[in-house]
Amino acid sequence: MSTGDAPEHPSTIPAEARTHQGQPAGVVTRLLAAALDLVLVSGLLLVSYVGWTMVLFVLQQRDFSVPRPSLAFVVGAYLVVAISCLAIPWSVNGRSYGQHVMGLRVTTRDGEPLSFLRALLRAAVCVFFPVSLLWAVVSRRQAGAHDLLLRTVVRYDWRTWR
Amino acid sequence: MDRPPAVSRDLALDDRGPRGGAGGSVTPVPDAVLGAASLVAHRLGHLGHVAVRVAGPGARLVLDPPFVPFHRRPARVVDALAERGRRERQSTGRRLEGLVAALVPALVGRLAQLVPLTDLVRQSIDLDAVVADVDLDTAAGRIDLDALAARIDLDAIVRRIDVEAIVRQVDVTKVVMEQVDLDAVVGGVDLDAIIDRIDLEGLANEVIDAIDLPEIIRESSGTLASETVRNVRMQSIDADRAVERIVDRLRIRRNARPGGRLPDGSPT
Repeated sequence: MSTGDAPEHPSTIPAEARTHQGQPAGVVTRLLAAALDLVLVSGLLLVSYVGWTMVLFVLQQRDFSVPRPSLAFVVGAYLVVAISCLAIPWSVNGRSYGQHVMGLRVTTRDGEPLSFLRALLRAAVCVFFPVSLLWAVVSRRQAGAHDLLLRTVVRYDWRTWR
Repeated sequence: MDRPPAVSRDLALDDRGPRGGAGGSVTPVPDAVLGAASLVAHRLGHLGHVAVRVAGPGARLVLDPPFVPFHRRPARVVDALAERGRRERQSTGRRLEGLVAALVPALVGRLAQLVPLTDLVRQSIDLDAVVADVDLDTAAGRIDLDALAARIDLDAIVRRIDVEAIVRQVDVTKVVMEQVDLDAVVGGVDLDAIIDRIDLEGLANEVIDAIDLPEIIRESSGTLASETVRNVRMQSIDADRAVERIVDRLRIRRNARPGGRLPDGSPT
């Protein structure tokens, strides 16, 4: 499978994985990748919260109190961070951090890398409707609902990060 | 002192041989008879010579009398007879030559059948001595080898030669190693041109493809994380295929997914 200017070279892929290279990815691997992405987003939010708290502690030493952001703010921050953590890597490298760990790559059906707009829309759909991924269980092409909507494919790709 | 008679003089002259030869202990009768015959013949020859000298003018006068017309003289008759005799002799000679030409080959052929000439030559002639006397260099110098070679059909000869059999008997490797300056040969080879003709990139890719390079790198670096990631990836792929099989078994999908494969590589 090609992702633009990167030539496919099977020698960089372990021998036992070469038969799977370029095949549509299954739902288990994709769920694990999504879970890793969720962990990453949660970690970023947690680090951001801790950092924000420390900044407030430094600035408001007398009347310091632990910040209690509203639910809307938390949800908003989660949406922004999550969509950013998915859309930017997809448009740049075709794989989020979780997909990088699991050896997956997102492309169009033609094997081309996603444009930023398509990556942004896909990320939004994934964040708002994560259950759309489960459609891959019953899909003939291992495609989630967002893949069918945006005509994208997730394949096994064990090549090293470009 | 009186001169000895002529016969005694001739005998004295002819008697010098036996005296100086065998010693003359026994008088050889055959030699005496032969000496008498020789003496008689000598005398007759002398008398004939004298007779010719005496009778010659008379005979010439008889055969060629000046008072007889030229064409009627007896000498002309003798000349005509001599001419006829000469023609007859020539004719007879020619007939004899024809006869000899007809008889001799047949005679020689028959003789060759009867006599083993080859054995006869071997027994009678010292061929080594004969050949030793032959100046072969001079004989060879007289031979026009160019003309001889031009008459030889070398192509036909070469076609009859089994070159492959000859080559099989030759240790070509040994000949090359001993006779050929391999360093000079290799030095004359344009290695750059050869390398330019080789698809080094394709060759390197084939070699790299044949070996599990990631495995080698992983073993050499000993990265625990990459090994863990690899195991997680493979196990997740196995889980994917297991889910596919379960779904197929539940007949949620009527047909197998296009391109779908089991973990062992076989189609679903």
